[in-house]
Amino acid sequence: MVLCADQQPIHYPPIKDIILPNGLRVMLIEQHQQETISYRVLVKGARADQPIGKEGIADFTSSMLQEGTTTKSSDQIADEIAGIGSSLTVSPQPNFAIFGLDVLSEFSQTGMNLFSDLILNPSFPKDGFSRIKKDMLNSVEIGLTDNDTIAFNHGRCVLFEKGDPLGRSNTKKSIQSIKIKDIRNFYDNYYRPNNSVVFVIGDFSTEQMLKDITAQFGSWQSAEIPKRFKTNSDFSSKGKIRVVDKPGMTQAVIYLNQWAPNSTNPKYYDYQLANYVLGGGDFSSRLTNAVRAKGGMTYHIGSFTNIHANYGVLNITTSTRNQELYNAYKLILSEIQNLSDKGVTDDELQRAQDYISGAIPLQLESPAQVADKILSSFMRGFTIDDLSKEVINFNKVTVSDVNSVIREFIQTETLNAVIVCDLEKVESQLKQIGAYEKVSYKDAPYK
Amino acid sequence: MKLIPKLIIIVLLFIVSTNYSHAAEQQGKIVSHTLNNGLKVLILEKDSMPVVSVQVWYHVGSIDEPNGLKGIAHLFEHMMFRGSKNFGPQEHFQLIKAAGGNCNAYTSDERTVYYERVPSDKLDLVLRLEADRMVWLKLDQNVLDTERQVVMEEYRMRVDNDPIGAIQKDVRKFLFSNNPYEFGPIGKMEDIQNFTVEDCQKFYNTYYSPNNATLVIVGDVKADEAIEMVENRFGFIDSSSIPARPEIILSPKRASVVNKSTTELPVPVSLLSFYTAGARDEDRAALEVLLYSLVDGKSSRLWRSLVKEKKVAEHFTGEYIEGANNGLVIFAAAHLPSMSRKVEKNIWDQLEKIKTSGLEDAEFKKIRNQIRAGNLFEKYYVNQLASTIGYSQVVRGDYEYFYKLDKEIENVTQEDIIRVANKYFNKENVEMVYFEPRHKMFLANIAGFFKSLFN
Repeated sequence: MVLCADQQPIHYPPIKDIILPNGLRVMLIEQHQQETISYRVLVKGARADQPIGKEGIADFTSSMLQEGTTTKSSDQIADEIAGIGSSLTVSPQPNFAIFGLDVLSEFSQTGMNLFSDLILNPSFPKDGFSRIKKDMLNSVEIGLTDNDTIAFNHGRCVLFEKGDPLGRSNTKKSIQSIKIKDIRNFYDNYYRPNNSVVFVIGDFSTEQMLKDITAQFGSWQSAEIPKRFKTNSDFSSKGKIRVVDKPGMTQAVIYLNQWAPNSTNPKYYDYQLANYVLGGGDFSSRLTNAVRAKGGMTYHIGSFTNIHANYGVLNITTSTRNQELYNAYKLILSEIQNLSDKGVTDDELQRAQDYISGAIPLQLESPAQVADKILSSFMRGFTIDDLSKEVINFNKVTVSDVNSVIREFIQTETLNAVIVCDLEKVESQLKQIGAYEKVSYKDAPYK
Repeated sequence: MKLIPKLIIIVLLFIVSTNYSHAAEQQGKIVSHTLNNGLKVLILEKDSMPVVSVQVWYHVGSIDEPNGLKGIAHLFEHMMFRGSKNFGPQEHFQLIKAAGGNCNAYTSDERTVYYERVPSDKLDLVLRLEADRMVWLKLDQNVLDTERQVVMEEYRMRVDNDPIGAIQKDVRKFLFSNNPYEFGPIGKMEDIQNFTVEDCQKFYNTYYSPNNATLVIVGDVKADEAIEMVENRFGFIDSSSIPARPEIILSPKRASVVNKSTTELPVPVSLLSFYTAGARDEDRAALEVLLYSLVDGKSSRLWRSLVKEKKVAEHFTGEYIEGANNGLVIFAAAHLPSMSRKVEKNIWDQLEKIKTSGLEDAEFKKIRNQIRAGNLFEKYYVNQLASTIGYSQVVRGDYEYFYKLDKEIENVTQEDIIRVANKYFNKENVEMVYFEPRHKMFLANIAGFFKSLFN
């Protein structure tokens, strides 16, 4: 990996990028820095594909892969993975999941055999199914004790239109409704070579690795993939306020969201820089300075984006003592309004660009990081050429570009708000905030 | 520590989990240098990326706080970013960010660590920032008042409004009552409310000195050039007289008696805490191997027995938590209300097996592979390498352990395992806590629900 100065491209290592006859995309980067190999399989079957009423099935399916294959029990799988000093990771995203296995290169063949067996030959045994179901039901219960999770689940529901799987979180009812046959169906629908990518980086011979992958994955059967619900980003819809009552809280959680441009929007870079100035840059951001550093109202406040190829979301989150709820809320909105009215300064933009220029190359310290960066970027519609020019593209952005994107997308009127709080303790402050929908934290976020 | 807990019941704030072990022979040699004022500097050259990690380990933590000032060590973790003679409030953070880097800090019972990761050509900037706040930190009433509020918000977030944080607070009360470990870094709310600028100044003058710190630098630097920079930036700072830390030996207050408390969690939680050797003890390596066999992942003995085979627990996790001279092994299980005794019995049964027969050969092989692989993957990251070097020096007492840990693990024998299992995992050396859900109706619903699943 060759790193860049501000106006130089990042030189990613060469990628062998081919598509097997069954539609499986294979990407290989040979790199001999250490005697390690990182395997990744990306499957485009995720939360966005969950049928209504079966929320949780995407994670359920991915968890089931370790519970047994046609030739191995879950104990054998666990012992063999641990025996080579590794562990299987699953990184679920709204539109895809990435499975990972990092191994010492001396265990390359064992790792490959195990990995392909898990992906291709799951047996979905009943005992593993029952245990994972219990785990997921417990997670729903435990999620009700986590105030940020409650806020986020309700926030998704408020933002996404009814019927969009991305607006719906797991409930006890949805998990209980999932049967083994549902898992099989989900697997059969989405775990297909023409819906997946295999990515390997590390200490191997490309020629041999390609042979091994072809031998292991070449007979995987392709199939037509069901169409996904089309997420509708309604940039003009007026923001809503939902108050989630949770008695006993000594702090209120404030979570705000609104639609953001997706990754294929030409203003993607402008928007990311705007977010850095707003709340993505910690103590270099306006929200942190106003609400934490000057206001002392919170331990943490920040904004972050979830940007995908088909939609984007801006999120702002904080928690504050009950008596400061209204002041903190008002201060956040006033900072956003101020940003929209007056825009960012030259200095703020420069700091944001300086950060990104330095930070992007430093995010590529290990082969595993390179793999994850390339895979997730490809899913957002970027090419290697885009990645190489990422820093350059950020540095091309002007103050005028950033202020234009702020005026277009970051508006207080379209912000949704979810406030998780002990309603009785803060009711008088809520009246000042405006009209709101009231629900209990025990209620499912959606009807 | 590379044990991966399924349910993070006990990631106690107070002693950061061990994060050790490195086969460092292939990694290059650590250069050690001590300034005249006592600042210990450890440098490891690693040129695979133009990045450098800088960590300043102050040998002060919450166990050094006097009564009435519980939480002041952690407050400094905040105050140290609020400006010094040559840098304004938050400027430290902003300058690091502008370089594309990141920085933060953490406080444990025994230390406070500040760290930065930046492009390697920014090393001198980081050293200048760290030196400035080591000697010229600004402490005034306005900053204190604001940060006090921020820390109180952190307390509300981590303890009052987080069931896991509340459990941690209770665990400390039962395990460490009336000793310096009782409150941990987060401290006491009533103390935090009453800190004065004078308290802060005294604490700063006492502990923030070069002879009470270790500076670790790992990355794309030349050791001799780095030492010159360090001398330039830190060399003028005076050393000071550091109070000796009293020796604290932890032991159970009520061995084998079940302490009871309540939780906001929907299921009961049972905890067994064994008092073990600290990081400087010769038993440490055997304890690590033993803990891998018991609690690391789905191939571990306890998870497999409690959760998968006997189905007496919903979740299980275990941690080996090390201080320099004290250690704790904590097993935690979330389970049905009727299962607490079965959980406890099952844990003891598994421990008894190891006390008698030790581990299987395959387990030794597996654990050595796990540790070896973990070490190799850690070598990609300058921050992790710096943490391991800092840990070796500050917690274990000598940075040379950085090179020896793989070998130590290789050298652990069956006899060592049986010996440490018998030495530490017995009923005279365990403190137990049972957390009952506060919401009874809720609990009944959950219990009924679980039973329906089992049937």
